[in-house]
Amino acid sequence: MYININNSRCYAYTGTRHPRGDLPTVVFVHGASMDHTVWAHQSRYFAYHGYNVLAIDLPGHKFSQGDLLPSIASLAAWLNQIIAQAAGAGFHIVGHSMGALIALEAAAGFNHPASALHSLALIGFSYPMLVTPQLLDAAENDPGRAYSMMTQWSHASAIGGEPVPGFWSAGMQMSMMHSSREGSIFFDLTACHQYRGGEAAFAKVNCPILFLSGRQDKMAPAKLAKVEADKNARAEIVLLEHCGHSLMSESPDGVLDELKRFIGSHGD
Amino acid sequence: MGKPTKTRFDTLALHAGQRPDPVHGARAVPIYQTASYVFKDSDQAASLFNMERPGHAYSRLSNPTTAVFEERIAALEDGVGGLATASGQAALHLAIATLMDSGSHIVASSAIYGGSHNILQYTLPRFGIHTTFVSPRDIDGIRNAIQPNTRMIFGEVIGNPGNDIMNLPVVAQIARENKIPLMIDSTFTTPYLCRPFAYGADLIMHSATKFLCGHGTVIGGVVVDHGRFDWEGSGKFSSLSEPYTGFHDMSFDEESSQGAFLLRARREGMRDFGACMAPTVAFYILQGMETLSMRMERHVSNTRKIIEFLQSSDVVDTISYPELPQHPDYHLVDSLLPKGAGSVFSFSLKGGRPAGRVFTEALELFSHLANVGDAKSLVIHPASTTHYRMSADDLLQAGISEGTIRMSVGIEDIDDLLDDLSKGLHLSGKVAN
Repeated sequence: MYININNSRCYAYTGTRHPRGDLPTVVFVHGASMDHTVWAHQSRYFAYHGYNVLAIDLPGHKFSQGDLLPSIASLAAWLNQIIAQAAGAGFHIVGHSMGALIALEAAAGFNHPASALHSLALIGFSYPMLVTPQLLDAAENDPGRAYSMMTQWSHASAIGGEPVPGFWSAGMQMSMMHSSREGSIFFDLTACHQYRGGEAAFAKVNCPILFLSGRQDKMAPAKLAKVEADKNARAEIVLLEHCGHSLMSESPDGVLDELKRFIGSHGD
Repeated sequence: MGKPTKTRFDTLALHAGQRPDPVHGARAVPIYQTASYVFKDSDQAASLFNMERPGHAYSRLSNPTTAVFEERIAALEDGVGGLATASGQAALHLAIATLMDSGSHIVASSAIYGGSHNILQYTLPRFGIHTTFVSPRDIDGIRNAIQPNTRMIFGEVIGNPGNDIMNLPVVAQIARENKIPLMIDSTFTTPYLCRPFAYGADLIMHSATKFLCGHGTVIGGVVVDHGRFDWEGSGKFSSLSEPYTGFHDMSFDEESSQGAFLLRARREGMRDFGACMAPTVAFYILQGMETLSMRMERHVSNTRKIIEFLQSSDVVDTISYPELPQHPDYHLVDSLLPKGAGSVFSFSLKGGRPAGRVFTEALELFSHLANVGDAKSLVIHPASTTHYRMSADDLLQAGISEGTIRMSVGIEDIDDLLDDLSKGLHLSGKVAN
């Protein structure tokens, strides 16, 4: 479905279901130079099991119009406009990588009297989310090289053997990034690198938090997620084995099962 | 983070798509010879069928052994995924059926495999899909043949029988300008010699029967998607960008932009047409792919030595091989086929039909049959076999002379192949003189 925000058409995948006012909503937020399709399995499951789903394309990504936004704060403000307009009475936010930073910041800043945030799931999260100078340079000057670096760092295995029959996950990621808007990778990685609002945001979030990380994640090492989880009494951390940063494609069932358990046990 | 390292071709050919069997530790890819799979419970079954969870439900749709082959060829071609089919012909049909409706139109190279020509020229028109054939060397002709209802440009990296090379970057640009995909049959080259996605192709198909399998043991095909064609933006492919009532109103492009084509091809094409690959066939092809690089190197080096040998024979009239300066597409070899122009080529013997017949029947190591891409050397004389009903004039129109010999050079010891050819040339020379 499309939602109009600031005179721009913004896209949210709903699992081909019409949202219902009596159901809670799960909002999925993708990472740098990605789009809603990274959540293909998980979002579709929730859409058919008692939830509304909004798997959004961030501004300037995939089907969403508008300019690329330059900071995690501006992306979070945009996300909260989407949530206020379309998420209904109760909602959960699930973010991956850059999307996890956006989800955190949005959760901290959401303030709408008619709606309640039930839970927050941060997948492939680290804070700060520093990006190496080599990767930032490639993102600015040679995006193809940046896509290649990120794809290789994002997978626990270099030889595949992924669970989705017939698909080569590394090829999927490369293709998705190559199809993204020119300049988006540098914009997005810069936003991740510069974000410093984590401590303040965590202090404002009152709902339960799930940190879900791949044990072999090189992009957002699990030990950094554990540091944040250990600070927060309402947080828990789960590590998925044989997974890097691309958890949703490396272990679609593992991610879904953890989200089902976590989201199903909070709110509503 | 350490320096990222991209896994290289030869390693992917051996490993991509497979991790050692977690239950028994089998190192080879197990053959999952099963039609169906036990569900954990009803919810899991429903989730599988509704694409909420990945996995296998029924082997017409997917199979663990076949999936390794699909993932491996996708890795080697630099694609997003593959879909294995019962034959190369089934792969071509599946791609067309996934993208087109009655009223659609294809622009195809006139220098394609005869089976492909048949389906495009004679069979698909019965279903309302028509094709305009253009020489792959006629770039303006290709551009001018495109109509508002054209939905694909189709050709081969190396064509048949004249070894015409399609100028992939130029043709891909024409396809892009017209918002239609370029689909390439890469059977003769394999990803070892040419990776068409690097030159702008959108879809690749193989008859895996040939070099991928490499041993002439099974029939199979595959179609691979690069995942970068903008189906939604094109506005010409409603089968991928509009809700499909046959699958819960799914719009495949919304579900997976990169995998939309393969999703529809599997969820509709395999479900409804059912031309799937058997797991045992996938196993044989995977065995072949493990040695793809080594075989292709040997195929090419043997071919070059044989061509050098034939050039010195006074009973050989002409040789058609793109690495020879007199070949019309010689100028494309360095850029598109730097590792070699394959091992299938043709040459003409002096002495016409009788000489060709004597030559092929005199050979011992070159098997006289209608196939290419075997580890063993193969030969055929079209004028006395596949095209024997045709007159000399008709043969010429098809690009074949009465003395044309088509050869698929294998990986035997080159000296033994040359000895065998010497015998055949000697006897055919007696006929010619």
